[in-house]
Amino acid sequence: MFESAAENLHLEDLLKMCKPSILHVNDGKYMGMHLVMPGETKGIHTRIIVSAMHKLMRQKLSGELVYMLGCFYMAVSKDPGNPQAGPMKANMTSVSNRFAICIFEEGCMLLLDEPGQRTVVSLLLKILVAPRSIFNDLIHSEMLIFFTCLQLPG
Amino acid sequence: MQQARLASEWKKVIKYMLRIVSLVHLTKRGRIISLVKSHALLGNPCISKDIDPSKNKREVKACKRMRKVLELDSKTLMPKIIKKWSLVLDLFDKELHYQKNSEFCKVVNMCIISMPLIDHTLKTEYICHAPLDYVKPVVPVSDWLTLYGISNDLHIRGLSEKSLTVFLHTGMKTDDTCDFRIGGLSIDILEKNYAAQKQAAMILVMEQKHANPKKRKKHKTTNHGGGTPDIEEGGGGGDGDSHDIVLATVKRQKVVHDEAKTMVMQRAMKDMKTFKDNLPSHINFCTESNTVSKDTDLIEPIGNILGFKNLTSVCITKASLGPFPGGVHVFSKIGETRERNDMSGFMYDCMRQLKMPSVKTYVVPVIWDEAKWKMHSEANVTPKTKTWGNSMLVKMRAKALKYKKMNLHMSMQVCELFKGNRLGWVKELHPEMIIEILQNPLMRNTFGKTLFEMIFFAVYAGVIDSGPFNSMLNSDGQVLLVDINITDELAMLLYNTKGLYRASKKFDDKHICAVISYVNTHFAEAADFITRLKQSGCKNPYLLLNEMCPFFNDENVELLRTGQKTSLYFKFLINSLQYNPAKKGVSPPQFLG
Repeated sequence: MFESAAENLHLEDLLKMCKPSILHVNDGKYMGMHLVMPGETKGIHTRIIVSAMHKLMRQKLSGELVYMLGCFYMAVSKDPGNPQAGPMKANMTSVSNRFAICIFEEGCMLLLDEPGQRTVVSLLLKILVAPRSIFNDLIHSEMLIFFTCLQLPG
Repeated sequence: MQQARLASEWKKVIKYMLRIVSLVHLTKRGRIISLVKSHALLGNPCISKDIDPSKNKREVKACKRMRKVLELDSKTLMPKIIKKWSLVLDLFDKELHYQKNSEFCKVVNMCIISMPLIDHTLKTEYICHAPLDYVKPVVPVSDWLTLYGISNDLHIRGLSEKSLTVFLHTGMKTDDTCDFRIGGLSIDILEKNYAAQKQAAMILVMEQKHANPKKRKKHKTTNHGGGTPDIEEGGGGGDGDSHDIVLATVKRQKVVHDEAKTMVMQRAMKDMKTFKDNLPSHINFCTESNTVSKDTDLIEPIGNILGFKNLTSVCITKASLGPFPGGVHVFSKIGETRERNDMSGFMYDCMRQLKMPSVKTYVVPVIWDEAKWKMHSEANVTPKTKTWGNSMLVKMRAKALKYKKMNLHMSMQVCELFKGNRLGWVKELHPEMIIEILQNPLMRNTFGKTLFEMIFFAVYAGVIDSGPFNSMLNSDGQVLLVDINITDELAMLLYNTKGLYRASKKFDDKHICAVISYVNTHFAEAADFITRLKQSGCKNPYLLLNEMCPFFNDENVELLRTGQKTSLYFKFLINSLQYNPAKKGVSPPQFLG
C-alpha cells in the first residue's frame, strides 16, 4: 500500500481532531487507565474502549472507531511514560490485542480476499511491534543523556 | 527533540490503524465464527436437502471441528494454526507472545474452520495499488456509550436481566448485509438462533448465580504486565464469543465451559429432573423423630472398616430390615445422602433387569453411634485401613453434626453381601483367585462378559469412579460394580471427554484381555447387551454421545453385532478397551468413522 496525499490529508485531519485527548493513569481522579476524549469531561476506562471496539466494528461505525482509537493513541503519545512497563503497558497491550482479535472475530478478515488479509496482517504487526520500538528509542535517549552527563565537567 | 520523535512513532501507529479500519470498512460484517459455533452446537443441524451435497459435507465437517475446538487450549491449537493458515503466522512470532494467548488462538482457529464455508462472492476484493478510500473520523453522538450498548451491556455491567437485554437487542447487533449461509439458513435466522441460545445460557447462569450467591465475586480482568493479557473471566469488557461470561473466579480453565455447552446441560438438567421423579424408591429426607434407631441397634459390625469418607463395613443384621431378615450377613454404608442411596438402589435394579451381577439394597434412617463405631474401627485396624479409619471417623463426626443442625437423620444403606474382593487388589492380595479364573475358559468368559457389561453400564449411567477399586470380583469370575454414585452436570463435563474409562485408575492388562477376548468371540451377545442397556432407562442425562462416546450409536451396535472385525468401529472399540486412562499426556481415542 502506498502513501498518498489523500492519506496524509485524512491522517492530519484525524490527528487534529484527536489532539486534545488526554490519558489519566492511576491519578487522584481515576483508578486504572481512562481516556478523556476532546470535548468530554468524563474519562472512559480501557475496558469500555475494548467493548466499544467490538460494537463499533460490528455495526460498521468505522468513523467513530477511527476517532476513538485515534484519541487513544494520540493521548498515549503525549504520555512520557514507558509503554513497556507498568499499567501503561498492560492497557496498551489490552487495547492492541483486542483490536487484533476484533478484526478476526467480527468477520472482517474472513470476508476479505487474500491480498487484503495479507495487508491487514502486516499492518497489525506494525501496530503490535510499535510500542517495543518506541521503548527502544526511549532507552537509547536515556543512555545518551546518561553518557552526556558523564562527559560534563563536575 | 526526542519527544517529537516518539510522537512521530505514535503517529505512525495511528496511520496503520487508520489504514486497517479503512480497509476493513470495505468488507461486509457478520459474526461468522460465532454463528458457525452456535449452529454447530445445535442437534444434527447440518443435514439440509436444499443445499449442494459437497457444501453440505463441508458444513458437517466444519461443525464437527468447531465443536472440538471449544475444548482445546492454545498449546493444542498452535500447531493447527501453523499448518492451516500460514498467512497469519507472523502474528504468532514468539516476540509478540500470541502463542500463549488462548483467546486469540481460539479465534484464529475458529476462522480457519469457518473459512471453507465462505463463498468467494462474499469476499471483498482488495487491490493493493489502488488508492484506498479512507474513513473520515466521526465524533460519536453524546449518548454513544449507551446507544450502541457499549457501557451498559453484560460485558461491562456484569450479568443481569437488564444488561442481558441490552446485549441481545443492541450490543450484539451486527450490520447484516452479509449473505452468509450455513445449513441453508440465512444470517438473520442464524443470528436469531444465536441470540436465543445465548439468552437461554445466560438465564441459566443467572439462576445458578442466585442459587449459589456465596460463590459470587467481583468480576475483573487482570493484566499481568506481560505481552498479552491473561484473561481470567468475563466481566472485563471483552465482547467476543471466545470470551464468555464465566462465574467462576478461578483462572480460566483449559476446557472451556461456554454458553453453548451450558445449553446442552440445561436440557440435561430437565431430563435429570424427570429421571429423579421416576425413581421408584425416591423418598425425601426424613426429619428427626424419636422412632429412629441407632445404627448399632439394627446391625452388628463384624468386618474391617472399608470406607474413608463414609462408614462402610460388613455387618450382621440384628432385626429384619426390608428384604433382609435378622441374622444375615450384609454390607452397610452410613453417611451417604439419601438421594445417592436411592439412586444406587435404582441402578442395581436396572442391573438386575439387565441380568448383570447386582445386589439388593435397602435404605433406612439411623442415628450414628459414634462410640461403638470408634471402638470397632480401632479394634479392626489393618495396614490398609490404618490411616483412613481415623479420617473416616473425623468426617463422619462432622457430617453427623451437620445432619443434627438440619434436624435430619443420616441414612444407612444395607446391601446384600457379595462375596468377593476388590478387583484392584485381587492380583496383590488373592493372586490364586484371579489365576484360577483366567485359566478356566468358562470363568474367564464370565469375567470378560461381566467386566465388559460393567464398563459399558458405568459409561451409560455416568457412574463416578467406576475403576478397578470400585469393582468386586467373586470366585465365579463375576464382576460387580460397587459404590455407585451418579455423575452430576459438572463432573459430566469432564467425564464426557474420557471415552470408555471414566476413572483415573487402570484395569489390569490381563483383565482387559479377557474383555477383548469376550468381545471377539461373543460380539452378538455384547451388542444385545448394549441394546438392552439403551432400553433400560438408566442413561445419564448429561452423557454426550459424540465421537468420544460412539458406543451406543445404532449403526455401531449393528457393526458389533455382525462381528465385522475389519470395520472402523470394531477396531475403535478394541482400541478404546486397550486405552490406558492412567497414562499422562494421552487422550482417549476418537471415532472418526
